[in-house]
Amino acid sequence: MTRITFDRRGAAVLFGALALAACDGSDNPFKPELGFIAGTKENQQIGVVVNSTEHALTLFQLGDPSQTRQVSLGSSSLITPVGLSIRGTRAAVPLGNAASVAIVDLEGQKIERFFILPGGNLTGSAWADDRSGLVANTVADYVGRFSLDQAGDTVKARVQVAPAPTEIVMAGDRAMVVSGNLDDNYNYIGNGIVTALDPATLKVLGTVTTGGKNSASAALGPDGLLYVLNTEDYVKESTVTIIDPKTLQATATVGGFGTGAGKITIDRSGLAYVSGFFTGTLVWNTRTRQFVRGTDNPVCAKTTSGACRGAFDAQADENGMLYQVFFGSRDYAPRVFVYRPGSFQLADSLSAGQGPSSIEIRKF
Amino acid sequence: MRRSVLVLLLLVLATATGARAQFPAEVRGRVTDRATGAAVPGARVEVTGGGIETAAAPDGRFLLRGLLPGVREIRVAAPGFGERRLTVQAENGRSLWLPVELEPAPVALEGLRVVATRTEAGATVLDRARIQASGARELGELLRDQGGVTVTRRGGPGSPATVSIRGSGAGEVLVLVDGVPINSLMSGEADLSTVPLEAIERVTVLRGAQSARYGGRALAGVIAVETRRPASGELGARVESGSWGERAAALSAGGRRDVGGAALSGLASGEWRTVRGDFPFAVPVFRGGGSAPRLNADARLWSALATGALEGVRGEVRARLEGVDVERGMPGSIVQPSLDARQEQRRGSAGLSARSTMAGTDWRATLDAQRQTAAFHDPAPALGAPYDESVAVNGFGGSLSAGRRTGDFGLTAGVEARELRFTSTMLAEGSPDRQGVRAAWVQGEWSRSLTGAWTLEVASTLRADRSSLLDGTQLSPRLGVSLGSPRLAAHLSAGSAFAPPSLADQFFQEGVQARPNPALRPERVRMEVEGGVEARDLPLGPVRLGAEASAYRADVRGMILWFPDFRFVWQPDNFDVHRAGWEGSALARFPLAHAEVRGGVAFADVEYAGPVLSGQVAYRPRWTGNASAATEVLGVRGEVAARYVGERRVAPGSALNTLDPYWLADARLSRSLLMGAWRGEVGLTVENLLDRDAAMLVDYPYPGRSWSVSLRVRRESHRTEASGDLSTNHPEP
Repeated sequence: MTRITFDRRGAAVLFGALALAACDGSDNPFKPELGFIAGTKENQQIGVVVNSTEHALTLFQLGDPSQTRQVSLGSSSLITPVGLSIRGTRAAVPLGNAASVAIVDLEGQKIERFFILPGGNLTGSAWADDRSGLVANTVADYVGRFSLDQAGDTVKARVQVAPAPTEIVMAGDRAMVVSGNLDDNYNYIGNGIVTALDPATLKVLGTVTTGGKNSASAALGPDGLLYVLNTEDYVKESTVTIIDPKTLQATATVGGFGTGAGKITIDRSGLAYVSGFFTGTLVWNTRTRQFVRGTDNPVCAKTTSGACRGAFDAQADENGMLYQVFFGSRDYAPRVFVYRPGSFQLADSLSAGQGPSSIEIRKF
Repeated sequence: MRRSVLVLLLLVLATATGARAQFPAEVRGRVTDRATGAAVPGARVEVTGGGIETAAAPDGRFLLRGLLPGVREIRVAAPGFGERRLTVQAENGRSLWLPVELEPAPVALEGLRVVATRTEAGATVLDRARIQASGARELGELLRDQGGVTVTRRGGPGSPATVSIRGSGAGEVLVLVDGVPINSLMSGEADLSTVPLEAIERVTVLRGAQSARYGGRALAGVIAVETRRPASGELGARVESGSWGERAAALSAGGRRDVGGAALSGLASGEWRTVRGDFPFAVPVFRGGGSAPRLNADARLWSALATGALEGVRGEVRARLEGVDVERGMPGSIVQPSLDARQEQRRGSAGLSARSTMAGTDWRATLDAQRQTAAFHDPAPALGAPYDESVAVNGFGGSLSAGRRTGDFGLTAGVEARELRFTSTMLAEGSPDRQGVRAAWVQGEWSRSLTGAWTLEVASTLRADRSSLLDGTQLSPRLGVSLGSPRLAAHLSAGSAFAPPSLADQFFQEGVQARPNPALRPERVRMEVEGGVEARDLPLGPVRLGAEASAYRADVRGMILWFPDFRFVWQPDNFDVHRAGWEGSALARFPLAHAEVRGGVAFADVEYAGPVLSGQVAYRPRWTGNASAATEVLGVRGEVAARYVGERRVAPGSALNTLDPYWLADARLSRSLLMGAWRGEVGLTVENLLDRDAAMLVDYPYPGRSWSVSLRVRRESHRTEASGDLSTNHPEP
């Protein structure tokens, strides 16, 4: 007589296998018809990296990071992208000094079309709906609206906003435009300003001043509040100003974010990841307003000398894994570092092209 | 109007001396020393632009065969003698006698840094005949067809042009005009478009590490430009007109006379050129396609040169005054065009040089003063704030050298000094306002004649440079061995060189997207090894063949390249770079058919050597090439030349977005004229013959097919003398 016994590990494996079997074929979102951006069967998430110096987007599968695709954005040295926004399977990539925005078909890995905003430098963008989006001209101080249905390529619908707009975040039915409030020589005029727009009419709904200078990035928390990162001057400590998009009131400004912080993202649990090239990534809980990882122990990949590699962007996937972008330096190659959830222990590092400056993680 | 000019020109070109049968003429003669009457063996005798040349026999006699009937210029040159150019009337099937007397005039290379009196092994020398035959307007156009040399231009005629040798940066090539550097102190780069060619006698391209002779910035090569000095009385003029509203005119006048046993000569020349510059270009598809005009691309240039020389048996004194004034629009890239950006550049220099031989020692001294100014302004740039910047540099320099030769050995030593004062709104506060350079060098040579007309030469040079902007002393040694005969030669050299950071690299006023790096080290080639072989004038039936090839390895330690940081602020930094490559070229002349075919190819591997970046450095094509064919039919010379620029990377360390290779072809027709006492040449040049879309740099397109017509006339006092010799058809003694 054979006696069947289960130890604790065997039970876990069996349970896991049964659970997977139960999921398979019923709730699996895997869409192989999407091709590369369908991801792998086990992990459908895709990382989209903006390569500033290489003028490209690099796509990788989180389930198999060795699989990458690159989309060229053009050869001009004026093409200096630093961010993107994604809607459906399309990405809007402002091309920096090239003063245009590329609409990239991520499924086909090709550029669908360009929109031109003559003169200036385009950085921030946001999709208003499936067919139209907004883009900020940081030199000419306006936001333009493009539509995939418009006849010509020149963006004619524009609205003046506070000086040096760099980021646009959709908060419900309004677009929140973050401006550094800098003059033509990039000197501070005053604290940063957030301009609320109606994305359909481009009507200015109001403005609110942040609690710090050189406001450069913002993210919407699960609490519906807008968290605006004030970079300051790369010497003074960076801060985060919390703004209610509905009332346009700045409710608080929090310090302690190190120097030169340039990007903020917030995951579904409310953890804010604030990245800076001098500090790595700090983790701050928007619910408790406490640092999980502060300047004394930032999330970073150490150099051979024990110093932190800086970070340009960091975003968590749906499992809480943190993907952190290192732009590269003279002595260290650009990488995307991967950290485990909770412990933020370094788990992996990926190559994702030259000069990576931004990352988005999506499931298509 | 343009069409009528073209028709007129074609009619002139077509009026060859008739369709009757033509039989080659020949010229016989003897080259002698005017002072002693002795024969000058080995003197080079050639028909200018005709591909026919020979060397005088031990008794000074020479024979040139295969001259097409018509007016021909004969150039006679020999080491230690002044060059002579004689105009002859080659008659149908006739043999003419041409006695040539050369003035003893030891070759004295001008300038602060030139210490050799012979052509460097592997160097390319473009003499006046070749410069004129090329139809090139300025130095950039002349050099773009040379092997291993890449000229980067930001548009059409009149636009700035920089030079790269063997995959170098533009700041790693030293450009000298009569020994005075014209590299910008701010950028380290020389703008070749500011060197018009009408007053240029010779351009020498020296490839490879040359700091041992020329000091800083001669890391990848040297372009040495020598202005003209009259060999006789002359009066000349040139006018030109072409596409894109181009107009040009040049005048020159010179004289020479004996003054108590010495020869006093002088030359004054001036050149004016203007170009409207706007041209249509193909708009990239993603920018809407079609065509758009390139605006704000106009340019205007004035240049003037005055030289005087007093040459005696024991030495020579020469004075020189040169000025260039350039004003032009800066149209920007096609993505960010600017309608208002302007640039003004002015350069002036005065020089005095003396050479004398006393007690067997050859003494040379030079003094020069220079002033460079530049202004850049744009009240409404497409990107960033309006700017109005300027830079002014005043400087003077001098050198003293002494050389002595004993038997097979020669030893030369010298010192140099240069002091520059500068002001610029582009430099950050606290930046230096002066640069002092002191240098000392010593060069030893040993040469031995071997059997079979072979000569073995060994040359070793060591130079020490100290700059007030650099720490320590820069030592640059070089050792070269060459073995040569009249037809075959080989050379091998090893040396080091350096290029200092430019002022902009170190002290540029920090801007929105640029930041200087005061901690930059000089770029250095620690050990360049180069070897080459050359075959000249090898007869193969009716064909004369020539070929040369060279290969090198010249890794650069700390090449200064700009790279963006995480804020997209660009900053220069030192990067180690592997650099190696080769060049090959071949020439076939068909004297009887008056035809010549040339071709060359160059490969330059310039790859990042550090742990981070890899692959070819941006905008350094691995492959470049050129080919040309020329012939003369019914008195009309025709030439077609093409050049190839290979694939270029545009982003550091990335193979993405590489620029496609391109071929461009030019054609030129010219015809010599004889109008009484005047001789001249009329020419038609068509650039980008196949009307290809091309650009070395992305977003800076070249214009499509364009044309220019030119007329050059010259009257020389020697012409009458030479024609007299021939009109009487002296019997051969």
